[in-house]
Amino acid sequence: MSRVTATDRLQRILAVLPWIVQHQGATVSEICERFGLARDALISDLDFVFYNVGLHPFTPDMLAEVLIEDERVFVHVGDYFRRPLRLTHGEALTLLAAGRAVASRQGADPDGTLGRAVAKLVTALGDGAAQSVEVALGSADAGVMAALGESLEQGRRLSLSYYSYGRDASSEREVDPLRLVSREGRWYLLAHCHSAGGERLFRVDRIRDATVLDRPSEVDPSTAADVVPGPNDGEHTVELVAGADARWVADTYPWDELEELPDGRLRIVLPVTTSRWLERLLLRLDPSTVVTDVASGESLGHVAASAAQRLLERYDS
Amino acid sequence: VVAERRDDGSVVVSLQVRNRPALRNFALTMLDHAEILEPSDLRDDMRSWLEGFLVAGDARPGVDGAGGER
Repeated sequence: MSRVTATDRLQRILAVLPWIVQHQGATVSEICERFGLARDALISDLDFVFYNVGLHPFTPDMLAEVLIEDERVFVHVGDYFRRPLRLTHGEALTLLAAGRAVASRQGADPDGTLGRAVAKLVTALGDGAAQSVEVALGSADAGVMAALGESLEQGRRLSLSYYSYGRDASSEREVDPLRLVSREGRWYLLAHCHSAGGERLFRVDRIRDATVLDRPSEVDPSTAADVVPGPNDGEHTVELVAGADARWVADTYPWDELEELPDGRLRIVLPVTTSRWLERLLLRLDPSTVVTDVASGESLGHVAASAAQRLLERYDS
Repeated sequence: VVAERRDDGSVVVSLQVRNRPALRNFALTMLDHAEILEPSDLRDDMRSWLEGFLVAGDARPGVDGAGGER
């Protein structure tokens, strides 16, 4: 049973189909490898194309032809696809955004049919269009993305080797994937983590290795919350009072409150997920910075001090 | 430039530096996974910087992270 959404599947087909049309006779394994697809998923997609891609009234003469012969795939779409499109400006911008989103998917050929179509849209829309629409879904290791896709497709558990920047530690986990999402130019995997005993969001570029296990997932992706939790959920809130040269903190990280004090110092209230992240932040600020846990009102100056002590051991040897 | 690859998996990197605070910040983002080896004045600069936190810090126990995988 497919576990990907219809939108995901449509985007995948739109990325794969133009490439196959341009590379008639490509092998099933070649296509799967290029686009990070499981064989069953590709065959299922080609079935979809065979029965659904065409023009009204979807009689056989108006449908795409798909042929798999000796593991080689041939797709022919009719001349009706060659008719010139007449788009409104809004439709063209929407198409440009969608085209760039699809082109960002793994395996999509930037110089292929899709890439050229996007380039033509930019030309047709005129100056400024190239800058007016920016789509960045994020980069990720092809092997990891393929494993995540396979796991989601087949509803199977994943074994992950994951580096947590916040904790500054690597861990081995077993997770049941729920959804793959792109946010602010990065891919995230929302999954039920059996180590943590709950849903967690994993940055895909920090997954060092992913293996699909021969074990079914125990969670139903359709029960996952519609709102994907942000990477900052489950955090502490701290208050920093620092010199004016700490403004880069407010420019770099999300904050809840920012205030310039009468003495020129800055008061910044911001969320912090882990002590390692806070250590990195505090060690780059002047040692005179005052840091307080908002919930408890306690000073957190010891966080920077203990981290500095740990680092000094390297410099004292 | 990677100047050396060591058996324990670590690497020695050589780079030109024009901005000392920027180098210090860069190294500090890696916490105790990175160390400035030389020149000695940059190494001393880092040591002095870190010692400043010992003077300013207090001795209460640390906050621990929870929840998200940042």
